[in-house]
Amino acid sequence: MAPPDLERGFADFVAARSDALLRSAWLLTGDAGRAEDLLQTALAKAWRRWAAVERADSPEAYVRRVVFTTYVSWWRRRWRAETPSGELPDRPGHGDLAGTVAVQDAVTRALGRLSRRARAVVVLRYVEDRPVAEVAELLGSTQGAVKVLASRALAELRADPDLQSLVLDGANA
Amino acid sequence: MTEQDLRRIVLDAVPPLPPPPDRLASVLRRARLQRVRHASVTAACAVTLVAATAGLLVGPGGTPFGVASSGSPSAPEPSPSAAFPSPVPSPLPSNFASPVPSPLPSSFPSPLPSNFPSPAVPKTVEGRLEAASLDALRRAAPGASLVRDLRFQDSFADNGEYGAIQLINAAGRDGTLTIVARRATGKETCASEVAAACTQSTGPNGERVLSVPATGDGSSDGRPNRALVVIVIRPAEKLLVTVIVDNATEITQYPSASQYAMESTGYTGQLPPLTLAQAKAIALDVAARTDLP
Repeated sequence: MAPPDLERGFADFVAARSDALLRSAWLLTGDAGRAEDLLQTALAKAWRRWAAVERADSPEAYVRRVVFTTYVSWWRRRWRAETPSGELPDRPGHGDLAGTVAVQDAVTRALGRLSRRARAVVVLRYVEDRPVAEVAELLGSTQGAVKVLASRALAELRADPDLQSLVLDGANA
Repeated sequence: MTEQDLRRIVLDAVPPLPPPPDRLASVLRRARLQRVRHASVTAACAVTLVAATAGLLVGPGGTPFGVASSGSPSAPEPSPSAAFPSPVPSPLPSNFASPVPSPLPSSFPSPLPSNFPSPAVPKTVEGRLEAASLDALRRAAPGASLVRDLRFQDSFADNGEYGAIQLINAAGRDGTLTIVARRATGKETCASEVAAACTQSTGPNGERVLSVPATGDGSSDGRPNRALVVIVIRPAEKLLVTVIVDNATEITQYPSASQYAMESTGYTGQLPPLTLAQAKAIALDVAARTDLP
């Protein structure tokens, strides 16, 4: 049985940081169910070492690293093939619902065309704005490899017609 | 498109992600399951090692493939960076074509009968899957050899998934064999399962067979992975078996007691060691003999 203080600290962390971590997990998986699965897998791993994790400078950095490394190591999951629902999570019932879904669809398709490692790099480097050194450390790679991967991924995304149209829409809005 | 554009677009796309009713309870439950599993595996390994040391292991010398027939772990955890081909012979050879008897017989008088069932009918799901897979492999590719045990692990997923990964040599080529079985809806098709070029056909007993040839993910020093993926669905039994053969020569992550992940690297760029027909035969055979709880 874990000490009550330990469990309370973990519960506080889960309550406070899960939303941000879940957002990253969604960007990696493109699916709400799988994102939650990824987050919970990472949290469960972290909980097993929580006494040490909690004492670290940044427990969130540890859990975030677990999220990304678990995601990268899940590459075979594509073939294990959780059945996609074909439905995107609902937005609130106001605004341009069709447009919103189209944006989500375009982004998930564009990110989905990248390799898992490239996608992880894009999320860390360009979305979360983390320095190359940190991305390399998080993914257990070299800075040079991260730079190459980031550059190629960015070029692929720039060439993606779906994303190009979103950029134009944003500029015209 | 600037990096700022990309960031804006991607962040705008993230939908509201409502949390589950009790995420903390779910996480703690997962962690508990992993801990229980880890403890039982550790205990089983300890018993095996003690029994072996004490000379208690008796029996016919293992299965024809030299693999302990129990579904419980019969070997220490494989090295996460095991290279293939290994210069060091495996302490537990699983070469199913090997004439050398296994040093770990498949049965012995044990106070843990559920962990060490008779070789004829393994009692655990993992054991049955292992036996069925090795048999299917022997029939489909008689000359193939595995580097170590094809040990199945529970994924702890809700769909009752079990998987195994191992390095394989066949037809003079090295690669990795992955076999996964899970419960399914029975409605899986090419469209629902894979985005890549996929061919759908029907097996001899009405199975739905999805085949994805010559594709893969990742590369090593410019040498691409080339994979064959075959998915067999038995709609009536709501069972799905996936067989993957690729040209990866290193397994960097095995399924383990504490986590379920399979990862490999060291791609040769060559064709995988088994053909599509062989992969299909294995998948059909395993699916025909698998009965998940």
